[in-house]
Amino acid sequence: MRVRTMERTKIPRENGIFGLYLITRIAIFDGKVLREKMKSFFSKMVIYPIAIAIFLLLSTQAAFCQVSRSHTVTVIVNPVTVMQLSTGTVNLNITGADAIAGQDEMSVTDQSTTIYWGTNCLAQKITIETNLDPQQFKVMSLAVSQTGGTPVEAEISTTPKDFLRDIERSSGNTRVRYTGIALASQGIGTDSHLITFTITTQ
Amino acid sequence: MNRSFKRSIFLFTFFIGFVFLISAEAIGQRIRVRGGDPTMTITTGIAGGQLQDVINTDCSLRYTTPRNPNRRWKITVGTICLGQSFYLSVVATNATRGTEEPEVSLSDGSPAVDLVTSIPRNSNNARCTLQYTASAVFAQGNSNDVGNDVHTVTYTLQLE
Repeated sequence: MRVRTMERTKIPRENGIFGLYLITRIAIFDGKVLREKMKSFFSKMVIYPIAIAIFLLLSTQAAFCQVSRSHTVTVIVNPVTVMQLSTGTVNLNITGADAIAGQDEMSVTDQSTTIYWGTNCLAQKITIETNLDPQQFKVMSLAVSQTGGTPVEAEISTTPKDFLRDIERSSGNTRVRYTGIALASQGIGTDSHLITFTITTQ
Repeated sequence: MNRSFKRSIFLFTFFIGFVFLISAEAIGQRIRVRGGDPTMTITTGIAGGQLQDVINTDCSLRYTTPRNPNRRWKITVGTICLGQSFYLSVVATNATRGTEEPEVSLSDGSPAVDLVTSIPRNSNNARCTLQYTASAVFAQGNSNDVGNDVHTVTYTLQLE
């Protein structure tokens, strides 16, 4: 009697999932009810399960024919700034062969040196300095044929001077033009420089 | 038992079988990435040249294909990396089953590309080494300025 009351009050639609659950529970008490309700439930649901099965089969075909796995790969690039010089020794010989009578200043130039750089940092510059102090003769430097940056002409001294400014993230090169300048009044002599180029943040 | 009840039993059996088939298929093919989540750091470069590549071979794939269907399988690779700045590529090496395809460049959002193809059915616990190559050019900047590239690399085992 109790079972039948539950049927009437709590199973408004016999084809609901909750209904099936209750039917199962009812069956614990009454095997007869189970058979009746199962028959009713499935007979009314012949078309829908087939339709659902076909739908699932089609829609999940691709899904269960492939399987995926992922992992994380991290790429870090450190700040890197590098520089290299092409040649070691440069000789600037003022022989007087090109001297002009009546003119005190004599000069000679050299462009045999190339500087290569690479930087992935913003706003870099290359400076130039010498270890020689004092100097008898003047030496000027200038970047020529550069692939990047802005050249600055400078007289070489023990104080770092800008040689090439505004170098952006790049890989490039430039020629170095040295100009040795002597005055006839300075007489003769030899200056031996150790020139240092430095690439640094501007 | 009347006819309706028999039909019900048939349908019930059909459902159970259907679920079993799905489960069996899901168990049939497997792919696993081993070796964790690698981090690759580019630290050096060549003046007048470019930054030096970094290669990582710590990771590998393990894959199994089912007996059925009677078809060949393949593994594809794709990545998601929002705001990608640098280059990353991967190639499978030393594959015990299947054919290694050429190196794949991993770009954010690009379609999945074949990594290993012609994997026979019923390949049990086959493996290959994943060789990642990270590269960059100076013009791309550095991680301090533009951030790291974090790739979610996905490998998919599927029918050819």
